Amino acid sequence: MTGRTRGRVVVRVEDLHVSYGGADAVAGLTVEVSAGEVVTIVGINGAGKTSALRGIVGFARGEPGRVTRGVVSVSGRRIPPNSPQASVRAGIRMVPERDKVFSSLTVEENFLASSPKREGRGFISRGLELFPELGRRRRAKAGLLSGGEKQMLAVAIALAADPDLLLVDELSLGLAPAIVTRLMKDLRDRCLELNLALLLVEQNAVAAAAISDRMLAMQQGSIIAEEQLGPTKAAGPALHRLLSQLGGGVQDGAQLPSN
Amino acid sequence: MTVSRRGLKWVLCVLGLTAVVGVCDLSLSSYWLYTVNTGLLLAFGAIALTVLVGRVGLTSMAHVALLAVGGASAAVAAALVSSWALPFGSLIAAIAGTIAGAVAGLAALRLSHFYLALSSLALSYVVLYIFQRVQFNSSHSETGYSASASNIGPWAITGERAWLILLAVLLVIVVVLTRNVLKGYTGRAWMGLRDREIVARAQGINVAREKIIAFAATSAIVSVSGTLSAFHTGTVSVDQYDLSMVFQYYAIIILGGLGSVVGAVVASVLFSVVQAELGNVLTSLPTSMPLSNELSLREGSVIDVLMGLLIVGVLLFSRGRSRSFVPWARTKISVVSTQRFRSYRNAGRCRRGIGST
Repeated sequence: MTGRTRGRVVVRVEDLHVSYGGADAVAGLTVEVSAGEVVTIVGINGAGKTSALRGIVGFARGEPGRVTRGVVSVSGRRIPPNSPQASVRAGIRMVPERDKVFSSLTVEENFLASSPKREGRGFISRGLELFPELGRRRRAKAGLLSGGEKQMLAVAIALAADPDLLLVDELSLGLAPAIVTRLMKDLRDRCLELNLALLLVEQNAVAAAAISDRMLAMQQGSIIAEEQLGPTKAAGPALHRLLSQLGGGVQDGAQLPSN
Repeated sequence: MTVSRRGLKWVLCVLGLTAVVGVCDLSLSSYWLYTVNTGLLLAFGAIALTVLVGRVGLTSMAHVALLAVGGASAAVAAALVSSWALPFGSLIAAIAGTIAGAVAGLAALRLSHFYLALSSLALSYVVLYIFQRVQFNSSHSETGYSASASNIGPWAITGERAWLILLAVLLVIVVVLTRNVLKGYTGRAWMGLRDREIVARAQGINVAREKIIAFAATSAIVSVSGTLSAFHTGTVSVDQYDLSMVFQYYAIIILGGLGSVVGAVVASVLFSVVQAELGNVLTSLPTSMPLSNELSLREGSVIDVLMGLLIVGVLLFSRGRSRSFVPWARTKISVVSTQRFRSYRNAGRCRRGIGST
């Protein structure tokens, strides 16, 4: 989208509460992400990270969760809560956790199923430009792709829609470390290129730290710490401080780069 | 290449149908025409079900109730207007079916799979119960309602041949429309929400709307086929609608390949023909054969058992994802190969590591 200037706040989440009927899974999340910025939320299982992303997109009727309080605004415009369609229209795209592609459709059909109604072929070529490797598999069923390729496809689809904000849930899940590093770097490059805001949720804090500008630690539905991750040298101690807040429960916490 | 192939396929289909009609006109008895017509009437419901189950990933057991709704529409239309009874009845059925389907679609937003099947079965009971009360409290309790005036304006659809032509034309229209919908945005959205609803939502697909559209459209088709059946039979009575009839449709879509529209049509006609033929064989067994008396007396149950075994056989012995003989047969007749099949073939290649294009 034109007119996205780096550093301008794209999305503002204020006091977001998500509930599944009982206690709040997310209790008052407040975060801002600017264009061209990568922000990561880390936390242990059940901290409310996935719920936070789902809450930003909103829950459809019939789903168990609900946004009970809080405001999400994109470029200053407030989007109605609990309406995934409105969020997508406002320029938010999410890559969900685990099975993130339509496995019985081919790569091409996956693009088409996710493209806006009138936009077909252009959407595919835009997505394939971003990840040329997928071009070779365009007629293969997405269910037969490798884990990395599936992840790539999901990210390519989300990016082809040219969102203002991209939400990615557990990019590293189930992938080999080498692939995770590469995908993370690719993702960061694309986001800088397109100048969009990227909000990641990760358990693999170390891999995410390599591409993040800012990192938030989440525990029991709230943000308990925030660190600015500067250039590589300063990132180590900052990450260490952040993870020590979480009590070392985060995956790969033991493999912190010793500065 | 693809376009010309597709064009060729349709030309072949139309030519084939014309040829079938021509051949039937010359040589086939009205008994055979009746059997084929029964199959074609089944095909409408089978297309609706194969789309709903195979493409959208929903279930429904409400076919019989929808057929009854169509039958009731036929009775109403026949009583009200005489010369346009058939189109008028179909229109009422389409509207009633759409409304019923939309209501069922609302239920599908909250229920899935087994629970959806059960609730649609329960709704079917309600519909049939109402139908039964209305019929038994009327003067038609014994004979049923008449739906013999099957006219389209000046044309009276009488005789199996006229029905064959009418049904073939309608079926071609339904098949073409359905395939277009499946190839377009709606079809991909349906398959998307069948595969993974959360992803569909995250990509801005309006899951609720797509589910309701799917139910409404397929229910309308089934209801209209109920109207056609009623006019074909000539009478409408609640005892024609047995809830177990829905299993026939499930059998057909399994034979035809889940989600395959052309497969559903082929399997419907085959189903009807095989069933009729089995009946003939069973009743004309030589009396010297052991059990022949038993078999011919219990013809209906024996046919059910044999058809059941056929379905189990198809499920057990068909290989790969296709799970049916119709997609399998397509691999042998490459001219009628479709997009859907091409992706099967690609899938096979990928598994064997030959490369995907």
